[in-house]
Amino acid sequence: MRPLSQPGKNRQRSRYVLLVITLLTITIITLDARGVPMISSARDSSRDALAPVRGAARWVTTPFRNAWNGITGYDELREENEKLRSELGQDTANAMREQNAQEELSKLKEQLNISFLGSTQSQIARVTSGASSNFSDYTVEIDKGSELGLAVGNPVVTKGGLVGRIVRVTKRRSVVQLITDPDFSVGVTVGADQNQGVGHGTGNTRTFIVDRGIDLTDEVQTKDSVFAGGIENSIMPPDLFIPIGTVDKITPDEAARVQVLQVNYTVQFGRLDVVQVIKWVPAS
Amino acid sequence: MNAESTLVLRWSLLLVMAYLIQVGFLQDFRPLGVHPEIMLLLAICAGILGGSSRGAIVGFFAGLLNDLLLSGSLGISALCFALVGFAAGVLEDSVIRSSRLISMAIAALGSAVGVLMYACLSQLLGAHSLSDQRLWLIITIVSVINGVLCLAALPLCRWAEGLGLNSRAY
Repeated sequence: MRPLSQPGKNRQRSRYVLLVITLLTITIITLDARGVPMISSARDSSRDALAPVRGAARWVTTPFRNAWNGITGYDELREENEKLRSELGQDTANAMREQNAQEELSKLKEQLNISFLGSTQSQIARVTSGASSNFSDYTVEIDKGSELGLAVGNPVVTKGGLVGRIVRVTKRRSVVQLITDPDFSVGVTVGADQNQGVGHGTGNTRTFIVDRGIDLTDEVQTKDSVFAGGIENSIMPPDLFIPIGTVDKITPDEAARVQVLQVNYTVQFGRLDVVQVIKWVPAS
Repeated sequence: MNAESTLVLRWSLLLVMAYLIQVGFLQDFRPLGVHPEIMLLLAICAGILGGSSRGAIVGFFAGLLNDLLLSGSLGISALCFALVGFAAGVLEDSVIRSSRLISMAIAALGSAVGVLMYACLSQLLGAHSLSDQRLWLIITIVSVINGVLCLAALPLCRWAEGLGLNSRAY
């Protein structure tokens, strides 16, 4: 058993250890915040090295996680179960067995036929994990990185529209900042008149807000489509119109002389699985 | 192999094991949307059993591993966990008679302080953690779960500290 009180010498050593560790961590935080390449590359290499370990750990614990998800998602499972029961009468046993594989295939096919991408170069990727922090960090990790030509700034989309943009790339992984992040601002074009404004995420997965650039005199209606892109010097490609969502509510702001648009996303952020990364980087 | 090397090896093994449990399982074990923070718990248990110095060192490495999981600045968790590990050691020292209940209370309190400290530092560096509407829920859930998990973590930390799994040291 550890002695109840440490001798003076030990206590002094403890304080010395704490001082050294505190200085060390403050140095690491500062260097990382200033984007010192040595720290970033060390961090990226460690992430890359740990990625297979994390993958293996997740694979091993799949049954436990499934069991837990089964317990916590009981209502959802019951609903799904009822739906499946009704489907059982219609579908053959073979179709049921193939269902999972077909879903997987259709998810991939969906991403191959994104109409708004045209001939733009892109890369399909899979979301490997969601937020690792308890606090909302509005990021997801995907399983492709710089070795396949991905870079910081690349827009990430699904068939539904804009998901976010890459903010960190390692050799085999990338971190995507979601458009739901309140810090994610992007130039948008709204409606048939292509009014231009600036919008940002709100922290939830339902609403995007356009609160700059749409004058009181601009003609905007509910159900109008909102696109990212189509604007020069934006963080999105100027020649692409990437859907964000549709206008749900319009509130005039007399003080700022603008219309504030509440936009419902077309992407379902709760079901992100396969995404497509557009190989385009902003000019600056 | 001398005692010091054995100690380092055992703690390293425990850190890696805790990391694997955190990424493999606990990230998805989210009562009310909050997952436990066993890397923080490990720092606290190290402080309780090995003293403030051990708590700070284990907390530093546990925090660094934790930072690799997160998208925030590198070193924030390392600083918070090291300080909390140190404080847990100091607190345990000030207790006249250790008991399981006191260890649980220290683990719960340390977890609350650790999460709050992480939120404050992250906010200073541009995140929205302190203004997160779920802040108090996160603190409460992490504290309660870590307080309970401490009963399982302490025997493992005892082994790492070389006190033996069945030692009566809390």
